[in-house]
Amino acid sequence: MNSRKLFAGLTSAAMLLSLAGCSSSNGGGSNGGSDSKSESKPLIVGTTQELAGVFSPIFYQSAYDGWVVDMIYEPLLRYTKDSELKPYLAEEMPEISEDGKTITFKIKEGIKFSDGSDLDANDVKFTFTLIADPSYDGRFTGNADFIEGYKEYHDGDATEFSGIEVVDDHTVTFHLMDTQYDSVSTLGGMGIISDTQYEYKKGDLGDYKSKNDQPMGSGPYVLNSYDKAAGASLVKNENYTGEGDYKISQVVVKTIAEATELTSLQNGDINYFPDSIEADIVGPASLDENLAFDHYFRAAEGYFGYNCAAGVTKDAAVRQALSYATNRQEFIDAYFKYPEASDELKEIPLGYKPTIYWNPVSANLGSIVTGEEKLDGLAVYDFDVEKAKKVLEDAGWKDTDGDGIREKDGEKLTVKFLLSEGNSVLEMLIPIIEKSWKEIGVDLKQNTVDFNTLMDTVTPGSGDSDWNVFFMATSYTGVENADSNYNLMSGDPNNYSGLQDKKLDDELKAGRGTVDEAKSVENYKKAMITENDLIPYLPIYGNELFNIYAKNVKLTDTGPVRSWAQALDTAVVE
Amino acid sequence: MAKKDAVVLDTGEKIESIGPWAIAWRKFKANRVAMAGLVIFILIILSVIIVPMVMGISVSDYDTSIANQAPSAAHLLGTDNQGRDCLYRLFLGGRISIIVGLLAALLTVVLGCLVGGISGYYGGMTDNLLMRFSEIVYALPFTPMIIAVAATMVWVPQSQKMYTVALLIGLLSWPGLARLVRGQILTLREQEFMQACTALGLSDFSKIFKHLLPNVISLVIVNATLQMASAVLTEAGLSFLGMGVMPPTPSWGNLMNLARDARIFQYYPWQWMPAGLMCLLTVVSINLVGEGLRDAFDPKELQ
Amino acid sequence: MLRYTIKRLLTMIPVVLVISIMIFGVVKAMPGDEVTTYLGPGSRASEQTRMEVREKLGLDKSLPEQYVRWLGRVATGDLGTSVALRKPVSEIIGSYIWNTFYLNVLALIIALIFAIPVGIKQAVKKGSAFDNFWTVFSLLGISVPTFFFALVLIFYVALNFGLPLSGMRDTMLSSFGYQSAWQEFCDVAVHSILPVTVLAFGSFATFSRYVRNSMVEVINMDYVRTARAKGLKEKTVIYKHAFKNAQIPLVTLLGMYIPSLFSGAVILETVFVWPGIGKVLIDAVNQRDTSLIMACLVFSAILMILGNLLSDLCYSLVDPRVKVDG
Repeated sequence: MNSRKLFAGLTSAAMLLSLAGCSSSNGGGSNGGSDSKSESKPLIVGTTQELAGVFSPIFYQSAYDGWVVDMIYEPLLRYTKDSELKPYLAEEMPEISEDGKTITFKIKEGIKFSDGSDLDANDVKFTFTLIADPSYDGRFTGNADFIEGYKEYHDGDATEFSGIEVVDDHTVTFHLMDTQYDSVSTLGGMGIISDTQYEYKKGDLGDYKSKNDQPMGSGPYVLNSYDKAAGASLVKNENYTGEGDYKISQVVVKTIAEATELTSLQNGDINYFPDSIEADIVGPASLDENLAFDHYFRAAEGYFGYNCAAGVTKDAAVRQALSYATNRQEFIDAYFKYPEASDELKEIPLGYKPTIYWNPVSANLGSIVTGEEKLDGLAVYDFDVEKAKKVLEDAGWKDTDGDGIREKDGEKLTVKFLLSEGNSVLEMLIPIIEKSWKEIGVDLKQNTVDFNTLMDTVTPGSGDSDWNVFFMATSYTGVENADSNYNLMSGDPNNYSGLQDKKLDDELKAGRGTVDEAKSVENYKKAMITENDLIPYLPIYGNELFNIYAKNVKLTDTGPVRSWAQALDTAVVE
Repeated sequence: MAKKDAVVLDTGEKIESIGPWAIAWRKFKANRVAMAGLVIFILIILSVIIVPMVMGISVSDYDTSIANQAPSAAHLLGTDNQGRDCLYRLFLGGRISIIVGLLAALLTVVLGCLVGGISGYYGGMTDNLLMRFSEIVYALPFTPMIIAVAATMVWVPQSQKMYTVALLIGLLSWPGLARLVRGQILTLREQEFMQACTALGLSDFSKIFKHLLPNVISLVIVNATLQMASAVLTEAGLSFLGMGVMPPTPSWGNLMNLARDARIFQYYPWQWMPAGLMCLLTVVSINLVGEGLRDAFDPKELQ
Repeated sequence: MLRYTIKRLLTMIPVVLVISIMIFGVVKAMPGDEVTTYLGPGSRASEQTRMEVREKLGLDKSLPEQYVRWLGRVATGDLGTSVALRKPVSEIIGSYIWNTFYLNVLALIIALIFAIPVGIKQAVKKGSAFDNFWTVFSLLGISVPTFFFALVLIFYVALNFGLPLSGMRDTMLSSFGYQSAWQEFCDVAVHSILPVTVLAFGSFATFSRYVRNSMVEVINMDYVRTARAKGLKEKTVIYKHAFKNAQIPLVTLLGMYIPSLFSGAVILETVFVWPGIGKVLIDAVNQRDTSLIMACLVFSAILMILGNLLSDLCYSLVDPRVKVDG
């Protein structure tokens, strides 16, 4: 027994010793890691979601991969902090023909990819050609399918994407099939890929995909390492030819455990935590004297989607009634509340009730979304149980058998709600609607599914129509409204509601199909009035977004559509 | 063995002949720690049944104007982020966790003893087949199974879905116990008293239930307690992964899970800490009872 | 013995096949599908593109055909490609499995180093204060939910002692290169402290209970009394006579532990963002990444069966009365 005790004692002593040795060498190590020669300390950005490692401007899916893409690849145009589109790789804003169908970009001279090769008009054409390739299966089809020659190249046997004309090395002209209000930002926002890095033959993206882990762009940073679990690290592109004085030489995007955002910031594990929408993190952070934050309006909305193609919600009256009986204000007041927070922070409203399903930071209708601007004739669905009852009553939904649930033509008013798991918004929202929907005679059934199932079920054509309502949040990467258009257009793969309405389609098309801003706004306003009567989607909340960081991080040139990864030119970690 | 026939000795002293269960109960009663465990467990059972009934509120009641309040006279354990009474949810959650644990453990023990017993006793082909079968069951993965099973009962009310969780835990957890029971029976089968049984020409039934089972009972009971405990813990783990009992139905698992929210963890400990402590207390008390029973059934400690 | 082992190894083949069929069935019974992952949420892919992707992934075929195709590929050593990570499955598993193994082995060794002597001493001093203390301690160990304990540790211990909260390595160091092997060793060691503590606590509790309980049973047996009566040293009695016979449940348990060395700790790895196979599996499940799920689960099934075989063989080694040929 004694010898054993001794052994155990020795083992634990050895462990302690080695740990003590480690902690000191570790401290020295991290200093050594952050190269004393550089002007700035490394920027360590935290995320609770793992990077998927798809660092391609035409294939990336998550916003987190998007950060890395933004540091490596550069587009022709980029948004400023104030959501204004400005030339980036382009010399100036593009020249647009009168009918809006011809758009010409002039590319700055002397721009080089990180391998030293020139970035020219051919690379721009190459990038869009990849998206038009018959075997392309990424999510950016919408960025190329309105260019002339898309169909011929994608579906036919054209050998070239004819709608993109390389005028000279630094001039490229896009010929479009239709006039589109947002074509400039759609074309200008795409990160440019080098045509010399890949072997490309029409119909074969194999080589491109196989080099997925070797992203190469003209941006200020190059990928240093990527690991699914740990995250990505980038170092300054030594051959960077663009403008901007990039002081930070090492950028790390690090995966951190959930619920440790604040503590990771406090103990220096990370020094920047972007895109936080949780009062739980912001509140305590505002009281920490070593931390700072900035904030802006979030280009996103949380919403209910109603199934307009099947079930009881096919009846617009049911959708209207459910919307009237949803106390969004109560939810917002309860959900968007600061815990302990500094007085400065408490002044900033966290959430608001949006009036329409539209991009809240959009240049055209943003002020209507937030309710700053009133629109005559727009149904806004303020909470009103009596009104909800009346709408149902008028539409023929009556409780004839006295069980508290309405019927029509023998069908019970049973509403099936698809919930996504682990969603704190729903946990707060469901008890609220459970009560008021019951009051208007609705039998609410819930089913919790994981995200993959939810997406699969609501995607049109999945063949599963046994649901009535789902909740999701949408976010926008620009100030335009293509996404909302897609979500509302009949037959669009992104129209989860399955709504088919000719009038709405026409109004949306008229809104998008012009370069005349006033005309566009006018038509979009009409569309919104129509949409809110049909109410395929009920916007639930919009909110404020916070970046929280250590005091020594100076990175404030960010905005709703300008992520930190696009704003490193002026940043420094002191 | 006749019931309680007293033997009267010549001296007039009466010696009561008592069965093994009575002996066990006497020994159990004498074990203070085990009794404490039993009392705690009974108290917990009673409280999770009675407290939610007495409080007279419904699971869907909420009042966001009193959200996240610290414990007070009105709300002994404070309120959660929807202003719901934490005490109520704690005990209701306990009811659900215990039901899930009980059902799952019951299923596990029944299946585990059955398969392990038959396998160990008959050996040969039967053993081989059953053990391969248990390997197959053991290899079935929890998380995809629970997603798949949940998909088949889409619009069943949320509150009834907890039975799925219990059923699945029970159906997937027995192979471990089966192997242990089988292992023990294999050892016992080779011992002298079994050879004596065979020599006496006893039936299989008598051999299994009168002679083998009592000898594995301590193993089974220790494991039954472990199973109940681990079923409660498995439920908590599944809740952590978002696949257990679904809110708004509370369970200790999903209440503890609130601690994943940094704010609730640091600032509103009353929302999750009691669930953690109650869960711990329950599992500890079950285990104490199990240990006590094991000692009580132990034929080698007859003094 | 050898014949028996070979026989068992051969019976593994049909068992693994049945297991793989059942797992395949379960995976396919999950709602949602790979196409959604492949195209990404919010994909603008038309129905036609979806059909093409289905075709490319072989999802347009009937389920039995899909399974046979999978089996055919696996037979040639190709585990397929992950739909979510767009990498060969073998590469993914190869790079993560050792992280899991390292974590679990370390925890198991630490647990056993403490559990065996503590368990034995408890049995010897049954009813003493020592016994009661460790009984309560191990009761806590098996009664506390892993993630709960882990979160408590993160918030109360990690913060006060400046331990890393998550991951296996410091991202700065591992991204830009370690200066020495010693530094790398230390980095991993420091990151291991919390997860290993949580894991070892649970295993310690389980093993010390088993050692204690089986020792208590054995210690009163006649041959132990005889050994004592013969005047053997107490130490010899305990270790040579008693403990050897108390090893059976322990060996069984250890045998069953082997698969979990490679696949056990989904929750723990999630909490600590440990780059292990458990986390890969749970992500794969959430993304319906069939090839990856199949590979992970079938692999751990094979290990588990090997573990069972191993523990059966150990039975007969420790207790010669048990015949394995049956």
